[in-house]
Amino acid sequence: MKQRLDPKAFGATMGEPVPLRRVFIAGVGMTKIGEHWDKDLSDLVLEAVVEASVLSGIERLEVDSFHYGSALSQLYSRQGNTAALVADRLGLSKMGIPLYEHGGGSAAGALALRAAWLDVASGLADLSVAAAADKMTDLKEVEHLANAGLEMDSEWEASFGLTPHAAAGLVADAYIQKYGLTREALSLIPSLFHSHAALNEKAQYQKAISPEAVSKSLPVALPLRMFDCAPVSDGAAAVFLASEDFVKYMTEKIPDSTILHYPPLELVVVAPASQKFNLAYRSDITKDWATLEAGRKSFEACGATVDEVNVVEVHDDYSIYALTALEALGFAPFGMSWKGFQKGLFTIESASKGEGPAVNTSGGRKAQGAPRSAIGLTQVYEVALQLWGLAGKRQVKNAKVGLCQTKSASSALAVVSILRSYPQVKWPVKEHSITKLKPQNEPVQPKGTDNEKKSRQETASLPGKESPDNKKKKEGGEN
Amino acid sequence: MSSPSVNWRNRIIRYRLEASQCPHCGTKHFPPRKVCYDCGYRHDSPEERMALKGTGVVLNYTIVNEAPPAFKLQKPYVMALIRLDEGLTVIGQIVDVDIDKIERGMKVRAVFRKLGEESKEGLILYGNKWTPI
Repeated sequence: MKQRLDPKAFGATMGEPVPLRRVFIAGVGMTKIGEHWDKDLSDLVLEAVVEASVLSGIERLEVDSFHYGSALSQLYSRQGNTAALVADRLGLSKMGIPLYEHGGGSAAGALALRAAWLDVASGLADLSVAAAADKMTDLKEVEHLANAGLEMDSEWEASFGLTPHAAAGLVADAYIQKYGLTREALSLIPSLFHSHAALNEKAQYQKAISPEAVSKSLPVALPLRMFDCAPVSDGAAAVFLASEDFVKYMTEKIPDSTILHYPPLELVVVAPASQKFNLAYRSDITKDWATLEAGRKSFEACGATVDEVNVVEVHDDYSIYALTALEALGFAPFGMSWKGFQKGLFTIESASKGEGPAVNTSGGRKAQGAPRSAIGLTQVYEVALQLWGLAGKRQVKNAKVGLCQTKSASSALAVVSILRSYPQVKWPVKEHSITKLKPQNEPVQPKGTDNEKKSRQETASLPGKESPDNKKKKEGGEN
Repeated sequence: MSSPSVNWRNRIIRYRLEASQCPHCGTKHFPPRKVCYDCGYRHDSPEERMALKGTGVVLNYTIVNEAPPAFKLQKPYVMALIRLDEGLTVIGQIVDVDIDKIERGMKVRAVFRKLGEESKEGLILYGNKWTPI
């Protein structure tokens, strides 16, 4: 197996690079997002996993590892140890496979995806399942308000009255001050996402709303209003990840699998990154450094460029975060993304013409719904539909590369994943028949040689000396 | 938030408004930290804490209408990022102010107040809020 991803992009600079295997999507499933009062947490996961399993024809015996994203199921469902419980309800408990439960706030599902991806890429598993769900409507509204600050710093932010609403409100105020964003321009964003959700039968709110309705909705954390904010939702999603060897096995053993009729879809990279936790510690809250770093890592690792991306799912739990995410990912210069929305960019129509990506074709967190843990996987579901050409009325023409960005509350942690489909290639995928993502003549610049890293470790603990690491950080901006 | 020990262990920092300063690179932090976020230097002795004067200007603010139960009686209330005279930024609630009159750049000072009360049986929390000068 030839090495395709550059491990140096992820920070590993010592020793021989470990070859990573290619990872393919072998199934995706998602429940309708909304209020599922008649189902419990494991019912939802089961529904999503069964959809993925029906699509691929893969059965439980073939699963090598199970990764479950669980942001706050202890709160929403009064249930800890959720991975083991859910795996049992799925019928996986008898298999004796490794189970993992991933936290990380709203990014839980995306972290589960990263771990499953790593399992397959490293060769520890041939088929790994990432699943996540949340049943947020089991909680009363007052309990939601009381626990709103759980993803914030509970002792030093939430106790002073800072909720995620308020944090997003502060970011919006800073953005307005710095870049002159207007209320009318901000209202275009939820309105656009609702128009996408109107075409998505799995979305929570399948109704278009006018920008005026957004501007006139009830205040939540001014300048943000109710229609700037994502709803409380129930939902689950599951993604099956397979190695090339497993895909070959599928073509031989499960030839009637539906997924083999779609173009092969590769999960090229999943990269998480972090930034300063507290809002007060950050020097510029309008810049999402975690997303910037995760995006840089993932683009660098696979050699893709921003221009190649056709479909983007950003984590817009508040409308302002759609702007900061698009800018951090490089789809617009800092402070300019809202002008793109004003010019009619980031829509399905503009992306079909090849003018930049379509953003949140699912309806985004605002209109498709935001079941916290599952968010990262619902994004992959939508991007997979788009890249397979199965998105129906909201299909972006010729979509080949998709990107998902998921984050925890005020973006202390962000995960970026890149997917790519190969419409010209038939299953089973063979190495030589796929165009290389990384051009041979543009090697990725390593972050530092072995010697540099060693000296960095030595100097890092000595006060008074500025280590190269710090210098680099100062040059590269804040993280 | 409702735990007595949480409020007990944070009482000095909260009541006296103490920040930490990194002895290596000089960065000031509130809430105080034991590892500097800029240079990674460890400094956990309480002597390195500095008391803040408690005056600054409003950088950005938001008017919160969806409040947690502890702040229910205060809504709509103002949360702000405040740049202190010492050069560091803190998060805080602005009180004793007409919501229409609040603006960026407004000078504020720290006042000792009840932070909130979760329920009738719940703990009453105290700490600093901010008021226009």
